[in-house]
Amino acid sequence: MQVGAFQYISLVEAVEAAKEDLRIQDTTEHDPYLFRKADEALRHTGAYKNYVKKVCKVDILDGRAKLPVGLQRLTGLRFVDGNGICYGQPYLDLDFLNNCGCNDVAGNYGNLYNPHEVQDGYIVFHDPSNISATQANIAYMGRNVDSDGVMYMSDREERAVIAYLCYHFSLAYPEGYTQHFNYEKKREWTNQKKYLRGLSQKERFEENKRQISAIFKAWILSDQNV
Amino acid sequence: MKTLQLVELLIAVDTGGVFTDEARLQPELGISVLDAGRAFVLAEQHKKVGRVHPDYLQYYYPEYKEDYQLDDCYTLFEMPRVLSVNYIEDGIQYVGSITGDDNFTRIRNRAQLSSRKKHRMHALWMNKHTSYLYDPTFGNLEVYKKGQRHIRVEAIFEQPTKVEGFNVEEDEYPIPLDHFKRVEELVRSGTIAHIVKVPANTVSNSQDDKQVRSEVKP
Repeated sequence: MQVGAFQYISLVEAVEAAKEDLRIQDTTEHDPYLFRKADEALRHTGAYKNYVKKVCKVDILDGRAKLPVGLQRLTGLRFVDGNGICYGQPYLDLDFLNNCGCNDVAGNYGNLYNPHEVQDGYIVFHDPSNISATQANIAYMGRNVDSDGVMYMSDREERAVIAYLCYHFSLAYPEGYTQHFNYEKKREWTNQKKYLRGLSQKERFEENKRQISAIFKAWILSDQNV
Repeated sequence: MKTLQLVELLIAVDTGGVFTDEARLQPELGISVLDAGRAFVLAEQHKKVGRVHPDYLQYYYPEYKEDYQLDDCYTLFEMPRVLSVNYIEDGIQYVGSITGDDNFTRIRNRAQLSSRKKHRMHALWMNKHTSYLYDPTFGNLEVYKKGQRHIRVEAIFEQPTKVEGFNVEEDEYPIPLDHFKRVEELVRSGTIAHIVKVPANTVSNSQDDKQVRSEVKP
């Protein structure tokens, strides 16, 4: 994700904007419905941007730790001592490392299958009596959501979300809107979704290229390679 | 215009502007006719232009009463009945903070309240935003925020003259004058026209003194 390329805005803003388009600003009755649909729209854009790398600290209680909302795939874990300092070997996702071509690293540091597994939103450690730590730092790939599990929306996605809201609201209440309105909003949503996916792909490519370039630059400049 | 002026205009529709106290509608009935006509015209106009004329709105500041409270989950206020505008919205435009900058979320009825609590996103919305439910059967307004003592309401009430604080003799009746002309037309052509033309049987003489007057020719 490009930091600073856009800003996050609240889904409520998209809801308010859609209400203006739908001419229902005089009532708040449909706000929760539109809010739910806005979250749905973002989850269905299918853009890479909606999946991000994150880190957070989790509490270990009775041999298990509750995972954050939006988690899709755990990539690493390291225990934290009472002073907040990480210690011991990191647990890394073997599949993830294999995918990255880092099988050797995986071999050195173990994998997720032996010490714990993920069940119903919790990491369950197989041998809790051997764990002295009460906290762990985890790295994971997850949906780009807030602490309530609601999708973050960037300003460039606002138009797509508004179109989605108008499209679905005019489907739910067809009496108040023309077929033309419904069709135009559907078309706008479809086009915006394609645009967002394309933009996201391009940015992901640029980001990968930048990272690869940085790695190679570091490798070339390394003392060992001189 | 003031309420009684409008009632006199309604009553005098077919008499060339002559209004006599003894012969026609009592003011109370006249106000009811006016209220009903206003409701009809509101829906009609909203269908045409898609919005509510601001003249229809009234401000209402419900009083918090300690002994009126029934539940810890919400604050209960008394609320006069409101009109429906169309199938999507009704006459309640604003129920929220007293400063007028935070419109609480409307819950249409108890069935919708129950339904919303069952979906995580709706439940989340309710946790983060104050909601309210208007119960016309008991004339209650349930504000789902504990300790919410002061609220402001802007709505189109069914009987505007019965709203607390409304002065029939001094306050403007909440209807635009051009819309009132439509109420006049309805009175002239509707079933109420017949009643308007019949003198009241007010003399206690066991006789039916009513008689239909002929229309006044221009």
